[in-house]
Amino acid sequence: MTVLERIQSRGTLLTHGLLGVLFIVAVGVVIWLLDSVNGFIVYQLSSVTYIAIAAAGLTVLTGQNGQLSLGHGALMAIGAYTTALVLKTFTDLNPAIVMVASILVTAVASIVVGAAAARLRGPYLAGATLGLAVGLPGVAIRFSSVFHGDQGLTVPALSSPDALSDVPAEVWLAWVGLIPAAVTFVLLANLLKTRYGRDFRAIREDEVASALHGIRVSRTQVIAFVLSGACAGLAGSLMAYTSNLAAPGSFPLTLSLQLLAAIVIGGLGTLPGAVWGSLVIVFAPDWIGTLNDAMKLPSNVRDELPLALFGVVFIVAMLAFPYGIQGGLRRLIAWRAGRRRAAAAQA
Amino acid sequence: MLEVEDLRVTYGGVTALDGIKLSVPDKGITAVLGPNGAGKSTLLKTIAGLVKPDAGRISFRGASLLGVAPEAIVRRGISMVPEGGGVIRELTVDENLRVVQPKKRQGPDGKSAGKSGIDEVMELFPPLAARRHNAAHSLSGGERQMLAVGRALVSRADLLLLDEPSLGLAPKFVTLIMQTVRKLCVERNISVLLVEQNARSALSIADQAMLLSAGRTIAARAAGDLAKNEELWHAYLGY
Amino acid sequence: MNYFIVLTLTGIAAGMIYSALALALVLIWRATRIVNFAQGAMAMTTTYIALAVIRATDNYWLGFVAALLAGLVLGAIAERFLVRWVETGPPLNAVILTLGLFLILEGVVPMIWGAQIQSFPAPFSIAATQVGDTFIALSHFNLFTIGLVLLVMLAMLVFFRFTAIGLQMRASAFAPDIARLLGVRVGRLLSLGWGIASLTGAIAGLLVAPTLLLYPSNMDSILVYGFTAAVLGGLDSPVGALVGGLAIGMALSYIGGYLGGDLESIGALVILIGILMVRPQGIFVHSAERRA
Ligand SMILES: Nc1ncnc2c1ncn2[C@@H]1O[C@H](COP(=O)(O)OP(=O)(O)OP(=O)(O)O)[C@@H](O)[C@H]1O
Ligand SMILES: [Mg+2]
Repeated sequence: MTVLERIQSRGTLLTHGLLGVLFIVAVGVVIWLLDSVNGFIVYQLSSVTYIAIAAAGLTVLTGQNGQLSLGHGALMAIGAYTTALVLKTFTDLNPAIVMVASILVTAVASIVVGAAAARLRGPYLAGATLGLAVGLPGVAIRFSSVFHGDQGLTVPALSSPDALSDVPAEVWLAWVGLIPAAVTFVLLANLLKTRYGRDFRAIREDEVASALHGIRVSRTQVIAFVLSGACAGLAGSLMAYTSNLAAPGSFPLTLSLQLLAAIVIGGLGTLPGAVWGSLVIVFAPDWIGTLNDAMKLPSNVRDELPLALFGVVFIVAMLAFPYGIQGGLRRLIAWRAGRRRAAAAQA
Repeated sequence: MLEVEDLRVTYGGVTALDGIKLSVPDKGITAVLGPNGAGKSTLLKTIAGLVKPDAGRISFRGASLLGVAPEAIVRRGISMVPEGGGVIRELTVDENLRVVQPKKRQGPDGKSAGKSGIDEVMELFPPLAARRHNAAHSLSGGERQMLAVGRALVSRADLLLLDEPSLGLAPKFVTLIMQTVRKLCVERNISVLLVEQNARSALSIADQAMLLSAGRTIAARAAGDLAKNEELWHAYLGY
Repeated sequence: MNYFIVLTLTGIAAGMIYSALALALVLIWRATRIVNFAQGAMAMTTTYIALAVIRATDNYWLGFVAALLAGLVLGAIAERFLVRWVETGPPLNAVILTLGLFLILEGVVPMIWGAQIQSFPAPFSIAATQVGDTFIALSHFNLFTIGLVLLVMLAMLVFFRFTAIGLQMRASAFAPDIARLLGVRVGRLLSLGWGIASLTGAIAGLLVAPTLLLYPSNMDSILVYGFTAAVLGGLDSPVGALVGGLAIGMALSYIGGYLGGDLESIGALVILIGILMVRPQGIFVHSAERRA
């Protein structure tokens, strides 16, 4: 028995947990090394950590459960504002506690939206979450005595502990982001292996059949939405720490659509895909900027190009995989399983 | 008029039709008989363009129908009454008839064909006339089948594909429908491909018949001959 | 004039616009069981086209007609070349596709015309109407809005009830496979249906821009209001879209007037959630509740 097999026999949570720790250490070292080469990339990597958390939540909802949310950007705003407000009152509160508070508040908001939309699913959840994305910034502006209107609330920067005072600020920020990201991915990967994960997928495939098999469809869908919303709340909290700000302008409708783009690019339905998609979302504007420098595009074209290209990605992905990227993935898996079987037969 | 050769149809690995050959003459009734699951409906659907065959040829008046859309096949003069009638429940009787796009006529009388066709249907099936402006979902089973057959008439088709027009009807209505089909066939000089569970009544009006089982042609001969062949009856139609 | 009455009247005028967008959503939902989340972006695009034509010709009505034609063409093209390929797949794919269209339009329009806020002309005065000594909250443009949307609704009713093409479109929407067997060219009618819906949306775009101004995301909130109105009306019913739009228009007008204009959008969400909780099938659907 190899070490890995022995660990695996102790349960998936442990396996995933160990993998998570390894991942944190490995990426943490890479980030440190990278910082001496290019500090800005490290700053962007901390954006990747929170985008990936939100995208992972959306993966559970959309990829695994087949429901669409256009409001995850707004749910991130709830997390970010919670963080800002909590820190306004308790300035030195431990970030872990602040993040948990943000998760809880966002989860409660998700229950309200999700429970209503679960009555009739499909386009209703998409429409309701669209309403959230469009409507929420107005609340911050209307109640500006609390939320400071368009300016938004500032969030104090995270400072590294004295023992690690040599660590540059952006590296510390990226490290701090890695931990909740890894925890989120480990817990979600684990959850998708449990009965809940199976129920999510069963409902995605066939709601009626799932109901006949005794799955409580509405309840399960609300659970998926709330779980996914909780991830967005955590992501928003981390985003507030990263940008030192919670302001309505940071959470436009297009943020929600970018998150959707991340999971479409990454291959709707897989957690690793959410990571790849988030990397693309965060770095694509830079690449397009480089492209633009070469081609000397006018500024209004350059500014809009990333979003328009995400739109093209949506359409190409849907047309190239008429039965869903899920279907494409499933076919790929079947094909690989077939090859493996063929290889085994040969051996 | 219609030639089918070596037709093979599969549904995701399940073979429904396997090497069917069929020749439908310019006029007269061809009955297609066979047990449940024999592939009768599949045959009609494939001719109507709803199901794509894996192999084989279908030609209508010398022109191939393969790859032609269902709506275009109707316009060439083939009209199908699907199993269960397929009336549009949300529309009224009148609308169900009016929505039919009649076969294109060369002559100048083409325009009025639809309108007079509807009046003809009303004369033919008096119960429908009484319910002309009621929604189709409020019709009884028999009225629904009348509407379905009536719709095929409005289309002015030269070839009617009827899938179990007597499904679920009381004997009285079965006779009415069968007599109507026969009358139409004679008066309008058209050809009918009639799928039926009710073998006896189908054979009583048919000119020729084919027997399908498990996707293969078991027999194809004059209707009278088939009616007399006890062996085939026992083996495939279960009498 | 009594503040409440003022709010009611302006709410009715705004509600008519939401009705028009709701009608566009309903027409597409009936034909293809898809909620077109690009409807607002398409209306925004056709309004920019109208503005370009108005500036070039100095004639509002030429721009008006151009927007309607552009809507017709844009909708038909979207159905024929994009939506057609996902109609039979999972509904999620169709929604993501319309969102792709949304992003492309909201990205490409500012590339052509810039992202800045622009004013848009109205064919009639947008100032309150004066009768004798009293001012009535409705402007001439409001009256034009109400009349135009009612006219569109009436035209749709006549079209779907009394014309052969309208009948074929209804048949295609109810039972596409059966309609095909009756010789109806379902594909073409779907394109036409999307075209007509987008034309209706284009009208909403033209009516929004004079008061709310024109910029690439100016229809985002209107899309939410239109969707809420459509859901209130049952998503399947054109009459429901009209009544739903009026109800939402008045409700949001009260919210804006008494609680603050910034809360209108979130107010629409609260109403939407309320409807989904209390009467998810909407107020105008007689058939059993539909699931998407
Ligand atoms: N859409 C489908 N998908 C998969 N298999 C199908 C489909 N339609 C028919 N089949 C199968 O093909 C075979 C032939 O079916 P078909 O409907 O043509 O039979 P039939 O002769 O009309 O039977 P019946 O008398 O019961 O109407 C059956 O085994 C049936 O299960
Ligand atoms: Mg059958």
